[in-house]
This record gives sequence, structure tokens and C-alpha cells, in this order.
Amino acid sequence: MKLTHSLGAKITAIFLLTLLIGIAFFGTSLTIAMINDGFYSEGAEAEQRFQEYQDTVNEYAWNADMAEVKLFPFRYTIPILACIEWLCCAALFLFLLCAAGHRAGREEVMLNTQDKLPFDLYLLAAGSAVIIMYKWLVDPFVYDMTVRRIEQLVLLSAALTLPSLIVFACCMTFATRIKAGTLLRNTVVYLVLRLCWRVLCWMGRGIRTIFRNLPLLWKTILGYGAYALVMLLVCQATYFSAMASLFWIGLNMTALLLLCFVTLQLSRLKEGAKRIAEGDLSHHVPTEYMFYELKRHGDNLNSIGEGMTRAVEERMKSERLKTELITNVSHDIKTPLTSILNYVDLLKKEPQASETAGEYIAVLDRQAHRLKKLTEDVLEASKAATGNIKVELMRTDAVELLRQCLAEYEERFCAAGLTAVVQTPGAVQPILADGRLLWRVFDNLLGNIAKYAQPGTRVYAGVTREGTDVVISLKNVSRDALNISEEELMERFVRGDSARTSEGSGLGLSIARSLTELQSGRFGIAIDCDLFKAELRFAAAEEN
Amino acid sequence: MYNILICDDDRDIVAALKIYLTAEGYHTFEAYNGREALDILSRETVHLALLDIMMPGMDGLAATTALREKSNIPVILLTAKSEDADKVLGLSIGADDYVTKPFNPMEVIARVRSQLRRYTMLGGMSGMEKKSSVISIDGVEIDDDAKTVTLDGEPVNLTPIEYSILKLLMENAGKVFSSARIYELVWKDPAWGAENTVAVHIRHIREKLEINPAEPRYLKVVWGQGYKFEKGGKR
Repeated sequence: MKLTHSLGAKITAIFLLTLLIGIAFFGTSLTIAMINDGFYSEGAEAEQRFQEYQDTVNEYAWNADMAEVKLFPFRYTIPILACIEWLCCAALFLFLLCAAGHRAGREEVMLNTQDKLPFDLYLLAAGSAVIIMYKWLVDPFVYDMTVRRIEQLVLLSAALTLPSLIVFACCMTFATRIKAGTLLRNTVVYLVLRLCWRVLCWMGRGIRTIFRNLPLLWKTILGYGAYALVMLLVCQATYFSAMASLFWIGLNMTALLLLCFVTLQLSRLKEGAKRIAEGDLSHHVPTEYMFYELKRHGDNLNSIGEGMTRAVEERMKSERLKTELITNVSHDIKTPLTSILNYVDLLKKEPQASETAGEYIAVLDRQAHRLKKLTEDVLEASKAATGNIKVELMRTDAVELLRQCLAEYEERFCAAGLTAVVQTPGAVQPILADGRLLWRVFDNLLGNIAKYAQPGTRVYAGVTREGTDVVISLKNVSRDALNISEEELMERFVRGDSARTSEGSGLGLSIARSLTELQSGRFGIAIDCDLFKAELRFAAAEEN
Repeated sequence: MYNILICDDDRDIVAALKIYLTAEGYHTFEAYNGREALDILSRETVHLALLDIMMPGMDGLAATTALREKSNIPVILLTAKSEDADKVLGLSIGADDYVTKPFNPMEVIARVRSQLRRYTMLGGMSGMEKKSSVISIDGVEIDDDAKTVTLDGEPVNLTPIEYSILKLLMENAGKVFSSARIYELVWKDPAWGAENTVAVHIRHIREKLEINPAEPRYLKVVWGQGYKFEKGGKR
């Protein structure tokens, strides 16, 4: 254990210091007294005087001057002793300084009670104590120091010891504080200043929060009001002197700069908003150097862009998933269906085991083909409904189209005993449509007619011009009674034949409607007892 | 006796096709993925390949590309992928024909026959000089002097009107004619109320000429505008 940390050593040192200081003061004051009394003056004069004294003492033994006589021989040793004592004191003092703040068993500097007092207060107290003591105790004795009044010297030393102890204490605490680093921090001045600073900060934050939460209009009014007020005051105070003009110029330049800055930021925001509106959703508005209000606006714009990008990505992902589903499912269904159709076909060609076997095979064949048609229809319906079909709109002649379609179905109509009556105007009726898709619509409609029309009746197909629309219509008489409303019939998988025995999936009208609407046309059906009417409406294309 | 390679990962389909083709008198090889198909092609003499597209390991498109590096035998793609984009892709990487599942076996046989005729005919015709009155597009040949029409060497019987229409369209291959225009040019009368006739005649031609009239390969219907004869090379 280091000596500086030992409490015993410190206490011993203090004790010794006190003692030695007292003795050292005594020695010093004695020396001063001896100087005052002329002990060190040169020459035989002193010797003679001393001899006189000596005789007097011998004669009058109880004379108080005895002390003088006694001390004369020691007149050189006493100063030397005093010096030695001072040195010892200094050494002890140094030791105590080193030991200040250290405690047994601990590495870091520990503060005791006196170290925790604010230093300036401490200094004040110590200083005033020393001065008071000096005034009362020391002052009276300091002026007249002679060897004769040796008891006064003793009292003087004692009186000096106390203030010096206080000074030592100050020094010790000074050393401790320096070692601990709390010298300045533990002063009253510092504490007061810190408090003021904290109050100011709090006030500043409060003002900033209030200001931020004010509506923009109030901020502008307050800002401009402050500016105008300052201007007015300055002008008043300086009576429009040159100083005022300078100040006026300076203030206005600052205001102008601020305004320009704000305008720049606004234009940056405008640019950002325009880019986002045009579709560049990844554009990031740089908001680093903007004022609070504008920064918030910029951040909002950025989050709009990000939000929209995310939404668009999700939408695209779900579209991709839908398309993949359609293709994969249809492929997976078509493969086994192919085998079924093939083998049923082969079975048909095999020599028949029995007549019933032949019927069964016929049923299988029919149903397999129906399944095939249904799969194709479902695929087409879902593609048309989700808009997964590529539409190429071109100038198409509605009359030509109708004739082509009727030509395709000529034989089937013949077989079903139907006659087609075509009513078209002489001129070409151009519309903007995708020919392939429109053919599919008519394929559905004419197929329906071939399947469900009353045999032996006429089918009326016509193209008419109604205002700016070109209307293509197909009318036929239904074989079975249609006890169903138009909306219901258009629904998917709803068939006119409620027993669902005949061929058909119920998707035809739904597909026809989806395909027509994909080409910006309108599709409608009307049921009037047994009369079934299908109508397609397209906007007439301009004549070229 | 021609050798046909059938390649599909579904064994039942391969077995069915084998039955149909052997009934027609062809000899068949079977494979169940692209790698096996290429293997057989390198070992044996094959005159035509029927390939599925969706197969594990190597798919039909990769197999076609690999095949086309070494041989120019006809390749018919037989697949459930029926989108237009898939057809275009398949044909542009080197296949000669594209049939979607479920298929009509008769149609497949007819296409096989047609492709084989084309393949062998091209080999035989390379030395002969063409007469100037003969127009030959994609296997359809019209000889104006003899007034005959042949499809891959086999004669097709057309009525005079049908012949005139076909000749008009083949002479202007790729150009679209409306019904009215065709009527004017063939009947030499102003078209009025007779567009139906043209449409019906065209349908008859299609039924005689095309393997699958519903999906015509030569005489294409441009819906709402007219008809055209497909220029050579495109499907």
C-alpha cells in the first residue's frame, strides 16, 4: 500500500505539520525579535552590551531579561533550526499534497466533505476566516517583537498556526479538486451559469415548438411583422441617418435572400411533384436543406412516390401470377384431355365388343369433346375478363365482317334448317375493332343460333347506322322457351337450357360481352318471348 | 417407309400417336424427353420429328434448336401451349408446323403427310426448272397452262370460279382483297349484293385446300377486311 494512501500516515503528517509549523513560526518570530533587538549587529559594541546584560542578570537573577541572555549564544542556531523546520514543513506539505484525495484501498480520487463544497464559497469562507484571525490574533503582536516579551512570541506563533492550517486545508482541497477534475465545475459561478444556460435552452425549445405548430399563415404574418417592426424601430431610433440606411439595406438583402431560397425550394418541390405525376415514381425530392415546412412537403411527396411504386409493383405481381395460373392450369388440364380424346377415338375404331359398348363409347366421345370445348371456353373467358388479350384495333368494315361470318356458318345453318337474311346498307361501315376478336364474338353468337334456334325459321343479321354508332344485330327465334331474364342469361355458366343437357358451357355470351368491351364496344341482348336479339354497338370510325 | 420420331413426356400420348402412325404405314421411334430425342436422332435415320414443348430435362424448343444445327428434317411441335406468342416462338426457332393439344389425330396425320411430301419433293425438285406459268407458294402450286392446282404434289379439284379466285389471290400473294373487289375482278361485274357468294366460294376453297379449314394456313381470312393468300414462309 502506497504511503500516500494510508490514512495513518496522513494523520501523522497533519499532526507533525501542525507541530512543526508552530515551532517554525516560533523560531522565525524569535529570529525576527533577535534581529529587532540587535543580536546580529556587528562588533564589540554588541559584545559589550551583552556583557553588561550578563552582569545585570547575575546580579538580579529574576530579571526578565534572562531570556535574552540565555538566547544570545544560540543566536545563530535558532535561525538554522527554524530553516530546518520550515524545510520539514515544506516536505510534509508536499507529502500531504500528494496524498490529498487518495484513500486506502482505492485507485481513484475520492472527495471528502470539504471537497464537495463549491470552491469559490470555500475560498471565501477560508479567506475571511484567515483575515479575521489575522486581525484579531496576530496583528496586535506583530509590531513589537522583542526577545524580552517571549511569551508574546509564543502566543504569536500559536495565533499564526491556525490561519496557516486553514491555508493548508485550502491547498489540500485545491489539490484534490485538480486531481478529480472538479475544480471549476464545483464552483458557484459555474453552477449558476449552467442553470441559466439550461433555462435558455428550454425556453428556446419551447419557442421552436410553438413556432413549428403555428399554421403557415401565422408564421408568415409574424415573420413579416417582426421585420417591419424592427425596420420601424431602427428608423425611429436613428432618424433615418446613414446608419439606418445601411441597416435597412442589410435587412432587406437578408429578407430577399431568404425569399429566393424559399422560392428555389418551392421550385424543387414543384419539379419533384411533376415528375411523380408523370409516372417517374422513383424520383426523390432532395429535402436536406429545406425549411421545416417545405421539408415536410418534400417528405410527403417522396412517400407518395414510394407508396405508388409499391402499389404498382404489387399490382404487376398479381397480374403476372394470374397469367401464370391461367397458362399452367390450362396446360395441365389439356394434356390428359388429349389422351382421353385419342384413346376414345381409337376405341371407336376397334371392333365393337357389343352394341352397348358402342353406345358407351359414343357417350365418352361426346362428353370428352364437350370437356374440351369447356376448357377452351373457360380459358378464353378468364383471359377476356382479365384483359389478358392483346387487342389490335384497326379500321374494319362491319358489313364485310358480317358476311364473312355468315359464310362460315352457311352449312351449319343449312343443316339446322335456318335461313339467313342479311340487311345491310350499301355503303361500307367502318369501325375500329380487332377483326380476330370480333370473329370470335360472332362465332359464339352464330354458334348459339345454330344450336338453339327453332328449325325452319329465318335468322336476321343486319348492320345499321344510328347517329355516330354502327349497330350490328342478330335476331332469331328460340327453339325452347326462354324463361330467364337478360342479365341472368349473360352470367357465366348460365344456360338457356336449364336442364343443361345439350352441348354448351354457358360461357359463350359472357365471353362475347368481355371481348366486345375489350374493343370499346357495347354488347347487349334482348329477350322478347321467343325472339332473341343480340346487338353490338361500336363508334363509327372516321372516313379516310 | 419413313421413320418418325415421337417425343412427349406423357407416355399415353406417345402410345396413341404410335398406333395412329403405324396404322398409316410409318415406322416410329419413341422418346420421352429432349435428350432422348437428340440421342435417337444421332443414332438413327429419322425423316420427321413430332416434339412436345413442355418436357422435363430438355424441352421441345431447346431440342428443336439443337436439332436444327445438324439436320433440316421437318419438325412438328405438338403442345398444349396455344397462345399466339407460343406459336410464333416455336415456328421462328425452326419448327415447320405447330399443332395444339387436344389435337385431332387425323389432322396430325394429314400434317405429317404434308410435311413429308414437302421434304421429299424439295429434294426431288431441286434439279428441275420452273415453268413461267407456274406459281408455287409453300407447297401449293398453280399451273396456269394446265389449269391445275396441286398441294404438295397431290392434285386438288377446284371449280372454275374457285380456280380464278385462287389464282387472283396467289398472283398477289400477301395482298388483302375485299369480297367486293374479288367479285369485280373475277365475275367482271360491279359488286352489288353478291358479297355472300364470294365468302361462300372462299370457304369451299379452304375446305378443299387446307388440312384444317378452321385454322387456314394458305387462304387467310382478314376479318372485316377481306381475304389474302399467305406469302411463302409465314404461317
